[in-house]
Amino acid sequence: MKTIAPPNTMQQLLLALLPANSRETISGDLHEAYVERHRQSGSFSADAWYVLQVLSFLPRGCIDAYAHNPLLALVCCFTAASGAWLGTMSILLRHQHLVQSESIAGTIAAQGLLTLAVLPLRRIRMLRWVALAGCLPVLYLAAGALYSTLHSTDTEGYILLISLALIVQSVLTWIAMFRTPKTTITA
Amino acid sequence: MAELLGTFEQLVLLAVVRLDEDAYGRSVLREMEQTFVRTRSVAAGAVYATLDRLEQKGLLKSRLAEGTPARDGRKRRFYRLTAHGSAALNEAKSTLESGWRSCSWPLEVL
Repeated sequence: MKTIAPPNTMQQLLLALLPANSRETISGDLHEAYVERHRQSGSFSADAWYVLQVLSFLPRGCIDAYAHNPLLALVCCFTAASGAWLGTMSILLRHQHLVQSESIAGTIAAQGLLTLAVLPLRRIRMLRWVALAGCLPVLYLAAGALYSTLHSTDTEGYILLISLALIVQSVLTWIAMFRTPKTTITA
Repeated sequence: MAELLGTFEQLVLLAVVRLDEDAYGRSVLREMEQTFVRTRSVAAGAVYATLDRLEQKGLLKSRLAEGTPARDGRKRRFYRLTAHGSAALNEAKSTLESGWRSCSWPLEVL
C-alpha cells in the first residue's frame, strides 16, 4: 500500500523554517492534517493546502533569521539597493562599458538578495553553500574596487563605501552560515 | 488593566478552552477552521506563532506527549489555559461587552 505523505521538498522547507524546539510537533501536526485532507479531498487539494501552510511559516522564519543576524540583514539590504542603484545609474548615464557595469551591479544586487533569501533557509545545506559560493565573486569585485580606489588620485567615496560593505557582508555571511545549528537538513 | 488580547489571540484561547484535554496544534487549527473562520483555511504559521506568544505571556502552558502512527510517530504538544489566561479572556470579554452596552447592534450602515 502506498504511504500517504506530504511532498518531500515542502517537508524539508518546513523543517528548515521551524525552530528546533517545535520542529517535531508542528511537522507532525501538519502531517496528520495532510493525511486527513488527502483522504477527504484527494492529493491535489492536500498538496496545495500543505504548500500554503508551509509558506505561512515563511514570515516568522524570516523575522527570526534577521533578528539573529541584524547586521548582516542590514548590510545585505544596503548592498542590494546599491547594486540596483549602480545598475540604474549606468543606464541613465549611458556608461561606456554598459554590459560590464551592469554585470557588476547585477552580481552585487543578486548576492545581497540571495543572502537575504538563504538566511531563513540556511539549514538546507545546498542553499548554504550557494550563499557561501556567491561571496567569492563579490569579494573579488570588492577587493579590486578597493585597490583601484585607494591607488587612484581621485577617491570615489561611494565605491569605497560599497566595497567595504561587500567585504563586511561576505565575512558575516561566512560566520552566519558556519554558525548554523548542527541539525542540518540535506537537500 | 492588563494588556488587552487581540481578536486572533482570543480565538486561539477559546479554541483551547473548547477542546479542553484534546488541545494540541492540529486540533486547535481544525477548531479554528471549523468554528471561527469557516470561509477559508487558517494559516498554520499564524496559529503556531500565536500559541507560542500566548505561552510566553503565561496565558497557556504546554506539555509534550507521544506521537501516533497517523503523524508518523512525531510528538504532540498539548496546551492548557492557565489561571492568568482565564483572567485575560474574561477581561477581554467584559471589556468588549461594556463597550457594546451603549450601542445598538447591528450598527447602521451609513
